[in-house]
Amino acid sequence: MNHLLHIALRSAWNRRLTLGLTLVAITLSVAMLIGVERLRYEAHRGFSLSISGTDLVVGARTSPVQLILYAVFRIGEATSNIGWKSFQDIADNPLVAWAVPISLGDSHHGFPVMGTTPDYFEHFQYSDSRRLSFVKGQPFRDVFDVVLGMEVASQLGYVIGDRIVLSHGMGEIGLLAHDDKPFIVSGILAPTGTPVDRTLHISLEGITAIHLNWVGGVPMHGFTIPGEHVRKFDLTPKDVTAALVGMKSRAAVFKVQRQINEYKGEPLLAVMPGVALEQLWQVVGVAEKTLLAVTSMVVFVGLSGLAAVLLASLNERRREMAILRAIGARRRDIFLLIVSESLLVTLGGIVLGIILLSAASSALAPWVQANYGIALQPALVSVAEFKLLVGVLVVGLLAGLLPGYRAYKMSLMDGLMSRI
Amino acid sequence: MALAIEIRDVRFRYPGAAADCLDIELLQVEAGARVFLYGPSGSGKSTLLSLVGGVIPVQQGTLNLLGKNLTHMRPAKCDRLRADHIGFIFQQFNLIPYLSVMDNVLLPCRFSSRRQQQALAGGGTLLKTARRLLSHLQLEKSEHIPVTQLSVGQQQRVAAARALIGKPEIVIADEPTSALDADRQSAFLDLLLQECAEANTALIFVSHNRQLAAQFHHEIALPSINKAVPIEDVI
Repeated sequence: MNHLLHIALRSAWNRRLTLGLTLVAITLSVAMLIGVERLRYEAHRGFSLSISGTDLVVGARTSPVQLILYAVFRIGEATSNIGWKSFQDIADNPLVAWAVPISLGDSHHGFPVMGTTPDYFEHFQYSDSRRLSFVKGQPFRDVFDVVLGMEVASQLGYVIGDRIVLSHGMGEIGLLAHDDKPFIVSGILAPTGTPVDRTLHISLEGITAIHLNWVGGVPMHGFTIPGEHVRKFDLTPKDVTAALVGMKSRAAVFKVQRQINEYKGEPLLAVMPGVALEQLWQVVGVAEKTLLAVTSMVVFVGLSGLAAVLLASLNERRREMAILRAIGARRRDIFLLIVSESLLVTLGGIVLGIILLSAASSALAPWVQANYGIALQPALVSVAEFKLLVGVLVVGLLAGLLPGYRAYKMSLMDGLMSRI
Repeated sequence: MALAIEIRDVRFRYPGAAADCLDIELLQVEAGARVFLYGPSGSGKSTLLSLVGGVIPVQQGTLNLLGKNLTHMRPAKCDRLRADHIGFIFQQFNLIPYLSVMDNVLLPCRFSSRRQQQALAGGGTLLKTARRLLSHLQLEKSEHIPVTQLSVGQQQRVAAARALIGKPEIVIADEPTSALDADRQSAFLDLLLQECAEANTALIFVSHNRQLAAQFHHEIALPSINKAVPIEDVI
C-alpha cells in the first residue's frame, strides 16, 4: 500500500500541470463552499442576535413575527399603539429592570425614524452583548436632536451639525414633510450589522413635537407652531409603538410575559425576541440555503473536472500500467493507483481551500465587520463544515471510481503487451 | 531436473474471436535453462507470455509455473506468483518515466517481499544490491540520470537489472535487443546471459532474429509448436 502511494505521488507530480490546474479549481470551490457556509452561519447568528439583552418586546396585540418585524426590523407598520399608561405600568413592574419605549411611523429618505429615550443607547444590545457606541457626537439632548445609524449617515453623507427634515409616514415619495421643524444631527452610531444602522433616532418628545399641529395624519390648516415654541407644550407622548423590556432576573421572563399578555387596560403582546427571530429566519434563511446549494454544485463541477482529467490521462499511462502489471501489480493495485490519485488531489484541494479561506477571512474580517457588521471568527473547521468536507471527499472518491474502473478494464485487455 | 515452466495441451481464444490463437501440446523449460524462443509476429508470442506471466487466465489445459498449476488459480494469486518468480524485459519503454533509476530497479522488491528478502540475502541493503547489479551491467555512472535521458541501450540494461533483482527463477526477455544496433545487441546479450547464469535463472529469450540463437541451450520455434497458427502464415 505504501509503495502504491509513493508511485501515485510521483506519477501525480509528473503530471503536475494538468493536475495542478484541477487542484486550483477544487481549492477555489472548497474555499467558496466553506466560505458560504461560514457566512451563512454568521449571518444566521447575526440575525438571531439582531437584538440581545432584551428579554421581552411588547406591543399591541398582533402576531409575534409581525411585532418583531416592525419593532426590531422596522418593516411594516404597527396596526395600533400601546398607551403611555400601559407602558408606565410595565416599567413600574417590580420584576422589570428597565423598559425603553419606541415610537415609529416617520421616515427620512426611506430610512425609518424611531423615537425613544436616551436609555435606549444604554440598554439596547446586539450580537454577543455588544452595546451601541458613537463614532461621532453623542445621544440626543435637545428635542430636535437626531442620532443617525451608520448606513444613514454614510449613504446620505451627513455629518454632525447637519439639518435634516423628517417626513410623515413610511416610503419615499409623496410624503408630507415636517419641514417646519428641522432636526440637527447630534451623533452617529458605529456600524452594527443590524437595523439600527438604517435608523434615525430622536427623542419621544421630538416625535410629539413634530405632530403637535397635526390632526388625523395631516397638518392643521393655517396653524403652525414654530420650533422654538414647542418647549412650552407638554411633550409627554400619549402612546408609543412598542417597548423593549429587560428583567432583573431572567427567571422572571415567563411570569412578566404572562402578566403583560393578560394586562387589563388594553390588549398587549409580549414576545421573547429569540423565539420570534428564529421563526422569522425559517422564512428568510431560504436564500442562504439556495446559495449553499449553488456552491455545492460548483464543487461538484470541480470534481467532475478531476474525473475528466484522470480519464484523459489513462491513455498516456497505458504503458505505465502494463509495466506495473508485469512487475507484479495486481489489477486491484491499478484501480487503487487511480482512485488514490483522485483522493490525493481532493484532499489537497480541501486543505488548500481551508488555508486560502482562513487567510482571506482574516484579511477581510475587519472590512466585513465594518461594512456588514458580520463578525468572522478566525475559527478552525466547525462540525457542519466538517460534514461538508467529508461530503467533498466522498464525491472526490466517486470521481476516481470511473477512471479507476476504466484503468482496471484496460489493464485486463492490454495484458503485458501495451504497444505504444 | 526440475521444470521452471511446463505447458500441456494449452489452448487460448480471446473472447469474441473466431479461432484459437494458441494451441500448444507441450512446451517445457528446465530450471536455469537458456531458451531461445523464435517468435515472429503473429505466432501467438504475446499471448503465450501473458499466459505464462499469469496476466491472462489459462482457459484450457495445464500450465505449471515452478510446479504450481496456473489453471483455475485466482488472479491475485497469479499476480503474486509473477511478482515473486518472474522478471520481464520488454522491447522498449521498459521504465516508469517519473521514477529514478534506483526506484525503477527496486520496484520488484516493493511488490514482492520474497524478491526483497532475496535481494537482502547477499548481505547489505537493497541499495547495495541494486548498485552491484547496476555496476555489473556497466551502469554505475547512470544512477542519478533521469530515466528519460538514458540512451535506449542504458534503459534496456536498467530493465535487465530490474528483472534480475531478488533472483527470480525465470526471466522473460521479449525482443529486448531489437531496438539496439548490432554491436550493442551482442554486448547486452552477453551481460544478460552472464547475470542469469550467476543467479541460476532460467532465461526465455524471445526474438525473431535467429542469429542470436547460437548462445542458448535450446531453440524453440513458436510457429512450429503452436498448432493454432498455420505454418504458411509465418515467414
